[in-house]
Amino acid sequence: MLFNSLDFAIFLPIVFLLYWFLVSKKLVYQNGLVVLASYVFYGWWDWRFLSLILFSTIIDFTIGKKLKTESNPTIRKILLSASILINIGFLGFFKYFNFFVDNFVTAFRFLGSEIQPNTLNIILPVGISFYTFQTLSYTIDVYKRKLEPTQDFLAFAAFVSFFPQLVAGPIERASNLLPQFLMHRKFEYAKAVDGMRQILWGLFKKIVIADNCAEFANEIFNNSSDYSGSSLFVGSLFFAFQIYGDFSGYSDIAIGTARLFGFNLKQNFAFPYFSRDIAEFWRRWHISLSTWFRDYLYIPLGGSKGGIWMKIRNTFIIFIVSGFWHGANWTFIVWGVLNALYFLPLLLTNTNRSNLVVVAQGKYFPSLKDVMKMFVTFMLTVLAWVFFRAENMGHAIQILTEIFSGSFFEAPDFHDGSKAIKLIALLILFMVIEWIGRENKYALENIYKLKLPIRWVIYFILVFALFYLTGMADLDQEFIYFQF
Amino acid sequence: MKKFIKKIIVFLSVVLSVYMLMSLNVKKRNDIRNNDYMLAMIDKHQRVEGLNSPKLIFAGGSNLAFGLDSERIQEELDIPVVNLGLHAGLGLDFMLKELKDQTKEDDIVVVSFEYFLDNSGDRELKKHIRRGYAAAQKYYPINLKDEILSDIFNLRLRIKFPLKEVKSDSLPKFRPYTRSAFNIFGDHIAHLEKSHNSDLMDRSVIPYTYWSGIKKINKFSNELKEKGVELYFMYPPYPSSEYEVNKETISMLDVDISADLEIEILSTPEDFVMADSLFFDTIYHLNKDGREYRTDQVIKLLEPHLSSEEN
Repeated sequence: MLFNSLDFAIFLPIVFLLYWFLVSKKLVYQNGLVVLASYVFYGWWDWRFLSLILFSTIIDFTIGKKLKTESNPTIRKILLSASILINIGFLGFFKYFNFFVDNFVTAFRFLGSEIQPNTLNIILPVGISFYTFQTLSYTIDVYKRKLEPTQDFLAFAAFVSFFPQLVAGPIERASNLLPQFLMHRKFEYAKAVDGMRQILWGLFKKIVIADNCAEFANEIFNNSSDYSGSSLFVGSLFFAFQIYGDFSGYSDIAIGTARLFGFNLKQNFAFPYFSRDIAEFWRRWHISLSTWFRDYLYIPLGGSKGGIWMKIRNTFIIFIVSGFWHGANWTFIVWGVLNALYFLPLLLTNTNRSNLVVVAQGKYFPSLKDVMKMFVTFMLTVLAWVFFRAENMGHAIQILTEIFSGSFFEAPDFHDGSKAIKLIALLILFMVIEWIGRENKYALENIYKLKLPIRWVIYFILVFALFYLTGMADLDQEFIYFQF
Repeated sequence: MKKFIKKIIVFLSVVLSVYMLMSLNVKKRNDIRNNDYMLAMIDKHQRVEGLNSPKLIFAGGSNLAFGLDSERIQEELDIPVVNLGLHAGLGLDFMLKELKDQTKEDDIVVVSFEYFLDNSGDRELKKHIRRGYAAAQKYYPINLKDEILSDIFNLRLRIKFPLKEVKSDSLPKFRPYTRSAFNIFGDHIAHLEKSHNSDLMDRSVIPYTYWSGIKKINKFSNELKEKGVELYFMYPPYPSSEYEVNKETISMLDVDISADLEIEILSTPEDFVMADSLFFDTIYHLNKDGREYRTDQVIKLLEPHLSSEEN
């Protein structure tokens, strides 16, 4: 079920009303409804996926309980390994099996022996990369004794399957979300209103920004050989805004929806395109994944404690794994390597933590130096997105070769030039709104301070923009991150 | 809680009210017009009803609407002709159901579909035609969810559309896509005296896939046979430049069609590969000269079959 679908528009109010009117008295009922609603939400794609999530839930719940009572370090390690193997095994099988088979075949062919590939027709279960990481964090935290395992299976099942963030994050830590399932939720007016506001802003980002940009980005990337370097570059800019609007929009809707039910999810995006260097960008983009990799991969590998080579190795590992997490394609791996290369100068000069607070904090305008830094960081990001969006390496290289050719200086050419100009104007307005709201968790968070009529005018404009400024004809445009 | 729900209801009511007002305001302008291109279907169906069998019916997308001189075919082959070709966007399923409904015993049907014609077609287009021609509803299944989504989509269009209309109305440019652009045989003729558009639309590189339409046509042909209707297949016209790009895919399709299609095939794809200069505005729409050329070809292809029918 997509957040921007009619199904969800019917589903959400029903669950909301049942949750606060029918089952609000007891915690167990509230959690029961969350599990039921989440399984309906997830099963809407394909009911067969439900067995996977249920199996994962049972395994990690059981292992969590065993880890608490078991004191033998060897057995505890075996239990942890079992959880990791099962979860990563599922992920590896569904997401990477064919990738590895294809690459083995290519490698053997390179060495002169021809083997017949046996790839499988595997359907990737939606959101498997997200909930796998969420349950893994639970087992690892319990193993490290940072977290008390829960004895409440229903609460755990609700934590694993919580529908607002099940298929595309934010990837929640058990330490943040699980305790919220162990406490009875009471309706809070301000929280619910804030949730609705964030949902509205998320829908705007997805439907108006991302889908409009997608129209051009898809056309340009799918027919890249027909376009000049300048058009391809503008197409890459459109894709940069598409992926931001799409994914941060989803996160906003997820966080807002969770707030309607009394939950607080983590902030997943913090205005990443206002970053002054790549390190800051990665502290602001897909925060829940970046911090997951930091805590469960980078730090266990030694983090930045070892010598310089250790730091470089760990940096490359985390970025390459992050790229691979996004998909079984060399383009994602190269995207990860490229980001590691961007990060390297900051690491070597020990300046990767020099931009910890938001740019131009407390000011209306940034300094010229900050503008330059943001511009360079954004451009580097856009170039990396080319790999992320391209179908394969050859496609990415073709696009980049054209961008860095003489045709970059030609006037860009689009199938609908006037619409492209309107879209650019819309993007500028969008970024101005984002700039104004950059010190908050999302751009519109602070508008509750405005007078009621002004607030309502803003809400109406946004609602009508959802209808009037819709880009793609198909109303059920999928969110990009579902495929990961 | 009550306050929250009350505010949501008030907010949504205001949104809905404003929306209704806006959509009412533009509804008149946006309502499907009597001269809408798609409503030519009504005239075509009326002609079918008015003719006795046997008659020759051409069915397919706009490649037929823009690509035949039915009057000349009627004169030269001495059989009443109706050209049902209208729009490829209606999809194969729709067209076959329409044909099933419109044919009678002894009729002869020639189908000519655009390459790899989609089965289901464009939901909006079908709904659009239904608004002006309720009978079209029986040619496609109605899905409630799709209908609601489509209503929401149309509501958006109703607000968007007037601005576009004002612009196009203010320009005295040629607008061939109207119901009145067709003659009584069902041929589109308003474009015939207009100049050829050098930049043909709808160009694409077609990836090869087995065309599921073959099985559908086979099944349909059996139904028509039972009804006493003869069915023939011919390829659409195609510009030579576009053919060069998709030659491999089209020859693979031709292999599939030759092997699996269980009705008589009148032409090869190459029979209707024509110079780009013979096309009007898209890769399937012929101009005056192109239409003449194709009509000659069609007459030649059909002549032996119709004379054997008579014998």
